[in-house]
Amino acid sequence: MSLRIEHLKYTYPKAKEPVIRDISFEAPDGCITVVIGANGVGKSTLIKSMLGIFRSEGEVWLDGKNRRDMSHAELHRLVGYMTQENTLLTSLSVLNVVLLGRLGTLNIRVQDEDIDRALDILKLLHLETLVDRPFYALSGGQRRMVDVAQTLVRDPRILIMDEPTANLDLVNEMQVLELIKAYTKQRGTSTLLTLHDLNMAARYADRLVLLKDGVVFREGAPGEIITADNIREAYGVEVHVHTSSRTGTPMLLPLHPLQQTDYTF
Amino acid sequence: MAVIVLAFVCLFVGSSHMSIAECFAALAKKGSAAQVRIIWNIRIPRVLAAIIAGAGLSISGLIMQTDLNNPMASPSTLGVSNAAVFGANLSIIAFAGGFLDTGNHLSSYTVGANPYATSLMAFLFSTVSILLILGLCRLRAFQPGVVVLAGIAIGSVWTAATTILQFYATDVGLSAAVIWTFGDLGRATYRTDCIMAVTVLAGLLFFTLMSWQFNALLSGDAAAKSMGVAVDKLRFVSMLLASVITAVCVSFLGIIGFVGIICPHVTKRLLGQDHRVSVPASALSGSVLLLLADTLSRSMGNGSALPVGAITSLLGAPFFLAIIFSRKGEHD
Repeated sequence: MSLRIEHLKYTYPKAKEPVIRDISFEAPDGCITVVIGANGVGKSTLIKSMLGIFRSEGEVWLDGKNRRDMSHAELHRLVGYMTQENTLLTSLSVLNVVLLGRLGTLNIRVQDEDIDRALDILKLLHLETLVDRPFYALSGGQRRMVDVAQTLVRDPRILIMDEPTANLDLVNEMQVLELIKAYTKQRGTSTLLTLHDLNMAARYADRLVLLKDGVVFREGAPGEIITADNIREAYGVEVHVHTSSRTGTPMLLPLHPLQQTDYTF
Repeated sequence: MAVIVLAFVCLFVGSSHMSIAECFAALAKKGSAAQVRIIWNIRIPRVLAAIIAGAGLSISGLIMQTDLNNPMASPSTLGVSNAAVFGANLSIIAFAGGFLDTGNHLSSYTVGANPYATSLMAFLFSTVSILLILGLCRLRAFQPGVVVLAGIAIGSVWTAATTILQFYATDVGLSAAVIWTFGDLGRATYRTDCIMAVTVLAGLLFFTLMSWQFNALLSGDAAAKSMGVAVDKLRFVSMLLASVITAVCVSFLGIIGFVGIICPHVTKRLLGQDHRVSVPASALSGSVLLLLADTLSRSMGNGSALPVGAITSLLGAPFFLAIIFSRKGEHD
C-alpha cells in the first residue's frame, strides 16, 4: 500500500516556469515521510498534484494502482488527506465536523459505529469535552486538532497531511505527531506530511524529502538530511546542528540568514 | 403542526365572509354549491400553493446560500426571477398572452388567450437564464464568486430588457404586466400545484439525501474536496435544481420575494446549519411564512388580495432583523 511518485511536474496557469519540475520519491509502508523545504518551494502544490486536485504530468502510484485509473470514491476510500487551508467556520458541532470524515458511509441517521469511531478519535486527542461545541467556538489550535480527527476517523490506508501542526502549541504539536506516528506504525500506513518545524520533522520522520527549485534536493534519514550544509543550501540560513545523545535525532539551532539585510529605520 | 393549523386558518379567511361552520360544511362538501366551490376550487389550491411554493422558495434559498457560501444568495441571485419577469412581460406585452388570474384584475385583457402562455414564457426564460449562467461558469472552475457576479450581470440584462419592453407597451399591457409581477397565490390551480409539488418534492428529497455533502461544503471547497465531495458537480446539480424550483414557482405565481432569504436564515440562526435539520425546517418555515402572508394579504385587501410578495417582506423583514441582531447563533 505504499505511495510512489514518478516524474511529477506542475506549472501554474499563466506561469512561465513550472513550480514542480521533476519530483520522484517513494513513501514506504509503516513510515512517516516528511517533505520539507523553504516557503514557496511547492510542498502543498506537490500534494495537490499528487491527488489530482491540480492537473499535473507524471505518475502517482497508490497501493500499487495508478491514480489516473482510480475513481473519485476509490481515491477517497484509500487516502486520508488534510489540507493546509483552514476549514471555514460553521455552527456544526465538533462531533458532526469529525463525522464528515466518514462522508462515504454517512446516512441521514448516523450509525452508532460511526459515532463511536469519531468519539474514540476525539478522546485520543483529548477533545472529548468539546463534542457538542459549535466548531466556530473553538480556538485555532483546537480547530486544527478537529481537522486531524476528521482525517483519521476515516481509517485511511494512506495518510497525507499538509501542515497538520500549523497553529498548534508545543504540547498539542507533539500530541498530534505522536498520534500520527502511532497510527502509522500500528496500521502500517504510508504517511506523508509537510512540516515547517525542522526539529519536529527530524524528531518524527523516518525519511525526509528536502525540496529545492522544484526538485528533490536531498532524500534520506533525518541524520543525513539535517546538516548545516543542506540547510544553508535549501533555506539560505546558517545553522548549528547538534545530535541529541538521548534520542539520536539531529537538532537544529538557527544562527543567521546568509543574506544579511541592514534593517535601519 | 403550525403548517397544518395555519393551513386551516388560511382556508377560513377570505373575502366571501363564510363562517367557520360553513367552511367545515363546505369542506365536507355539504354546504351550498357556491361555498363548496369557493373552498374546493379556490381556497384549497391556494393554500396548497402557499405550502408548496413557500417550502420550495425557502429550500432553494438555503441551498444557494450553502452552494455559493454567500448569505446574500437567494433564488434571485442567478437572475432567475428577473428572467421570469422578462418572459412574462414579453408574453403579455408583445403577444398579449394570458395568465392565470383570480379574476380581480383586468380579466378582459386575458380573455381568449391561453392562460398558461405567460407561465410558460416565464419558465422558458428563467431556464434559459439558468443554463446560460451555469454553462458560462462551467467553462471556468465553478467559483462561487463568479456565479454570483454572473447572476447579477445576467439579471441586470433581463431587467434592462424588461424596462425597454415596458417603455413601448400600451397602458393596458403595462398594467397587466405589472400585475403579473405581483406574486399572487390566487393563480394556483390543482394542476399548477401538482407541477410545483413534483418539483419541490424532488428538490426536498435530493437536498435531504445529500445533507452531509452540503454540510461538508460549509467547511469550504478545499476541505470538502479532501472529504471526498465532488464539489463542482454537487454545486452544479443543486444550483440547477434550486433554480428550476424557483422558476416553476415564480412562473405560476409571480414574484414572491424574500422568502428565500428570510426563512433559511431564521432557521439556521435558531437551529444551526446542519442540513439534516435546516432543509426540512426551512421548508416548513417557508410554508408558514407564505401561509401567514397570504392570510393577511386576503384579510387586509378589503375584497381583493394585496400582493403576497409585499406582505412576505413586510412580515418577514422585522423578524429577520430581530434575529440578525440578536446574539443567538453568531454564524450563518
